[in-house]
Amino acid sequence: MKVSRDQITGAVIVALGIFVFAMISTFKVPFTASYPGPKALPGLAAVGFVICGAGIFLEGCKDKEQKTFLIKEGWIKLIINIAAIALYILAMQFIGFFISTPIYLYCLSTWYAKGYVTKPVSRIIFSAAVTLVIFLAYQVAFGYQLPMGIFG
Amino acid sequence: MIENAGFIITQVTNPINLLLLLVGNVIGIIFGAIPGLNGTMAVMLFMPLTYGMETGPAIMFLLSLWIGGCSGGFIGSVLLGIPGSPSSVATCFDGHPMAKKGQAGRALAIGMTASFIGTFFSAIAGAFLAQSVANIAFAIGPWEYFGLCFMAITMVLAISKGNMLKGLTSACIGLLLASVGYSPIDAQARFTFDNMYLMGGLGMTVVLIGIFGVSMMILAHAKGFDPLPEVDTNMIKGIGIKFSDIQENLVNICRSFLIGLGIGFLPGMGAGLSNLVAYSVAKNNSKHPETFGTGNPEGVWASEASNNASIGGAMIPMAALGIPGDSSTALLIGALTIHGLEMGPMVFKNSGHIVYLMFVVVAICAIICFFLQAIGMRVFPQILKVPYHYMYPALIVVSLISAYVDSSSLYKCGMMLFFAVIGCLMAYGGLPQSPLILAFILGPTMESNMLKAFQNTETVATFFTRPISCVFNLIAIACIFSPILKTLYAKYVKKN
Repeated sequence: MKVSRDQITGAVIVALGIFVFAMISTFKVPFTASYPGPKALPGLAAVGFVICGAGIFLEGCKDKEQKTFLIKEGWIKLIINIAAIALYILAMQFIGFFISTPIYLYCLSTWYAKGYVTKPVSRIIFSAAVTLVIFLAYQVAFGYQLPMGIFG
Repeated sequence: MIENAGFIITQVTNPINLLLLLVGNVIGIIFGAIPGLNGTMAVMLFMPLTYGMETGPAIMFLLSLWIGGCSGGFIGSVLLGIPGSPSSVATCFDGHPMAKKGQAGRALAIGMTASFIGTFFSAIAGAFLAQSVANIAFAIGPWEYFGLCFMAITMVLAISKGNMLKGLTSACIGLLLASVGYSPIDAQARFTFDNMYLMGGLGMTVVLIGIFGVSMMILAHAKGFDPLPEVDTNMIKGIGIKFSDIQENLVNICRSFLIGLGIGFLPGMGAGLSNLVAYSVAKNNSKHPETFGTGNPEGVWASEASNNASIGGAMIPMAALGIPGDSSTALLIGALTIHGLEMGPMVFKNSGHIVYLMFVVVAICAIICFFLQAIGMRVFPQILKVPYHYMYPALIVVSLISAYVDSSSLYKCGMMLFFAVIGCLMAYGGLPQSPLILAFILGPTMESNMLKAFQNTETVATFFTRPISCVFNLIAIACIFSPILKTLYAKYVKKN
């Protein structure tokens, strides 16, 4: 059976609505007609999720022909990008901004440049220059302390 | 005002003060253009420098930082597609597509001119209307504020590209994100999972740049980069647009200006709301609403004229009531207090010379910003010539660092990555991003005013018995049902 993107989206949104309902039921301040309290705003969102999610799911049942969002290679690129950012954040935590940033920039620019003609030297200069500009702009000019990792 | 003319002329013709204005505007524009930084941060950062100055130069410098920041926000939105602050979110919708179509110079020229019109004329309007308009604010209570926020959020139907259900879902995600942290009044911890970083709520920078910026760059790589856009700087003559462009958009500009001025003068509201409302109204009233989001200049005119008009508007409650219109004016009130000035109803009597100086300075800053941007307009679009394999990695790093400096914590970088993933999932589901941002910005104001209203009257009926509140709420309800009614009407017309 073919499942459309709207059906998946609708089902996820309804599930999110149910989860939010379950979460707000643990709040101590009660919801009353004279004072809705802290349950009101997330409760409104939860109602919206269930109604709209169901609507999107039903729309998805009617129209199953949708444009492909990403091909397989695109999904792989997407996941690697997310993993690379996560790794970069972890690297900043341990080895600091000044080591992790040029390495991350070099690796990413090399990967992104696949299919284009670039020289490793220009990518090295680019990585070092961006790191330096960020350091000068944020730390030297505006006084923000960048992550130092174990060197801090 | 006339009796203060001597003092104002002395201050604004002093060469040192003029230099301060120029420097402040340049710094402000840089802050506005860099994603994650904004005019408010510039004011916060440079405020200590003004403690040793005289009141006049100090307030001139701080105002120039603020105006520069508000005015420069559109540069990042147009060229990078990343809003520097909530006030330039709507500028991304059409400004960046224009840049991608090879019209970066034209988009910047429109942004620059609209910013000038918004700031300059709002300052003039503010100077003349401050005392009388401020009285209206006394009549506005939490019911009206709730109604206004509710109405603004339901207007997302106009900017959700035709799919009401997906637009509302996106707005609900925004409301859910806005409710993270301690609730107003009752201090109930919501969706914090005992995590100290979530107790204060989600930061604006993290959500905005994560959903709009980082997800856009990741998806662009996953889908395959488009060819580099053409840059139209060689064709730019004069200020980049013709007078006829302004004439053609005059109604849109005036309407957006009034929306910005009106929203700006409501305490607690500001440019973050006005640009989205003006954009949706412009789209609703356009002859070609389907072209919005694909690079329609009307969208840029509306967004930039309104967010800058909120500057003059925000100064009205600040001066006349001592109530900040937004975070920047809150900081300015603090700075003025340090200089011995107490904003409020008596300020016109006690320190009228400083109040009118502020409005004049805002008008002068608008002119300085206009000229600075007119010079920079030929240089800024060159950034679009940078290949994607250099630009996107650099922008991802800048985005993450802007999240880090928000609270000096790498946890915020992780949160930004989380919101980038949310942005990708929303793109997969076809959910528009702008309703989420609007609901996220307005959610806390809407909720706190709703709870205050219930504390006062303990009934929902008051929302419909107070005339202004009733009008706002009825418009909001009409906005929700209008797509259904339109569909039914279209079917009826087709049948007959």
